[in-house]
Amino acid sequence: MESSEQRTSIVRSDSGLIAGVCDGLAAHLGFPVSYVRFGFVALTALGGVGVLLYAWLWVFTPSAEESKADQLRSWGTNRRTLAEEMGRVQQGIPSPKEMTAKLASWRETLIGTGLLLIAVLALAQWLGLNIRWDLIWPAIGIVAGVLLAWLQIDGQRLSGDSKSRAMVLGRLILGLILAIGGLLAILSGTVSTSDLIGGMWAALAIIAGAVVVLLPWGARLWRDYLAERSSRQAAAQRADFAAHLHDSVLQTLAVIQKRSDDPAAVRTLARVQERELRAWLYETEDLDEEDVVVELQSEADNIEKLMLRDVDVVAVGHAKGFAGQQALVAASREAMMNAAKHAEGTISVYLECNKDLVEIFIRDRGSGFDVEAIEEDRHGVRESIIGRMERAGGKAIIRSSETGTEVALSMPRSSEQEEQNNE
Amino acid sequence: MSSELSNDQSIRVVLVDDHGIFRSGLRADLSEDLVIVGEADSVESAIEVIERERPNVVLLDVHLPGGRGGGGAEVLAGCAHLLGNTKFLALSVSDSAQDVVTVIRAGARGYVTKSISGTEISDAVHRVAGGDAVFSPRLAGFVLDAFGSSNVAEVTGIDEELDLLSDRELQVMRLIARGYSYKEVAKELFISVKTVESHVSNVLRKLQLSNRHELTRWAVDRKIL
Repeated sequence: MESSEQRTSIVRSDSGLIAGVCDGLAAHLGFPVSYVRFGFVALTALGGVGVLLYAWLWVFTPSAEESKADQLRSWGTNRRTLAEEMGRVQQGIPSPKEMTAKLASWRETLIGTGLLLIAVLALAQWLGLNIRWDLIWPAIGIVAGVLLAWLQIDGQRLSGDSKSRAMVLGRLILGLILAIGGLLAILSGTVSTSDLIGGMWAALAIIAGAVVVLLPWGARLWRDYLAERSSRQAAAQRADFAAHLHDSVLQTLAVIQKRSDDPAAVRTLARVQERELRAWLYETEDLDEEDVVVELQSEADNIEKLMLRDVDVVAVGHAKGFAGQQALVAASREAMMNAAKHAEGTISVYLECNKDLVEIFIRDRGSGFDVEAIEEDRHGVRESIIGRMERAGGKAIIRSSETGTEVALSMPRSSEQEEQNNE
Repeated sequence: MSSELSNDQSIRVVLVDDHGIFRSGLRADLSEDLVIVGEADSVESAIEVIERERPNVVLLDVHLPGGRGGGGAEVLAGCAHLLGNTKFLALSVSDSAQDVVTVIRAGARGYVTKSISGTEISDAVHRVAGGDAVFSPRLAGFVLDAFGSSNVAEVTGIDEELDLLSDRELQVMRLIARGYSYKEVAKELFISVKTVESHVSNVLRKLQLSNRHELTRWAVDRKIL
């Protein structure tokens, strides 16, 4: 994203004279179409280069429609709205994770089979069979080379950055060398070296000719195949999506319609649903259920649903398995509950896990109360928040003013003890 | 910054959001001294309208169709030469960090969630127009997470100026994360609201420019670089 000027990639337009090449090129370069057309004609006059260039671009640039499908398929750099995400999923794109997993399992199977094969051959020789290792080693080389090259086909689409592309290319070349070396090694047993070298040149010429003729054709076929496949996967994924939407979003929308006379409830329902949908769409990191962050978030979610109030949780850091965790979460729950019962407006919860201290702040915007007076005669706050925290070795401080109340809870933690607990 | 705006002059605002319903709702909600001079619903039209109108503030949706699929950040990139005079306030459906950090890093001066009230959004527009930054508790939490909630330099060789928060900035961020308004932060720390604003602006600058490895790693993890 270095340059502020963003150039569109070459795409054959749908409205061109022949195949849309000139149109697309003009859009890419920012010249008028007529200039580009004139350029091609001029180049053609110069010994037919224009025709060749045109044909080349025709074959190797995607049409507008194909490029659109490509865009949907590739994993871009932006986060998407729900609608975009759904659109994409409906196009049937497997997640990169799935693809990597698939690839890895393939690789393992192949390596396993190969090793097994070698073991069987070695066993056979040990049992007295005459195994032609001078043929088998080249054969293994050829197979390994071919596999190495073919395995890159999937890898190439996984990641688009130049570094991994270079690696893919390197592996491809290595595979090619292995396969050709193996073939030559087999042939060198029956053909003399000078014949082999002469024959190699002839073979190269033939291959070059064949590639020039067939490559564009193959590229077309490949593109067709990709388009075909993505439409097949679409149906299955659409069904999956519909099921989820029905279970969660549609149910919530129905409830919202029923309760449309209660703005607070509608707001909270929408919020809870939004959070859930977001978690379903975007949550990639695996959350540890024993983590204090997750525990606090789920308590906050419960209070949102139970009291139909907004609870905003902001968490910094992670911690789990420290001595007073249970008491800390229970006291926070109590404090959030009090805030939801007695105050109005959003409840802000902030959790910070440091190396030796976990702090939680629960703040509401109610009219406040006299902390001293209430501490004496009310069991709730004294017992369930302050007492609970102190028994577990922590601290609770309640500050209240006419603009709101804040409960500050802190619980010491020691890393060694946690490691023992978590084992 | 704020001197560019005399007090009686109204603030010219451009709305960029692809949902027409949301735009009309916002137009009705904004306070009267905010004059909406243009609207746009895609990356291309947004850049065009902003170029033409040169507004004081652009309310910019994070998710936008068109362009190369970069959404709000792409509009910011396209209007990079205007960032001195035109301030961008990002709008997002929720205040999750991944929605917002991209546009902040691209040059937005803050963001608000679409669920906040008309008064709050108008306040935020005023704040941004005056050259200040708008931080929500969640963004403050993200900053604390990314910069480390204690400013002990564990790694040597980091750019102190950009990659570390000062004690005061940490205190301010912590209070904002706890749900305090700027005014409440000022009262709590016995400093003026102006000072709080300048601390927040400093943090915003660090958030935009720092190469701290937590930030870059965060961005790479989410493929936003």
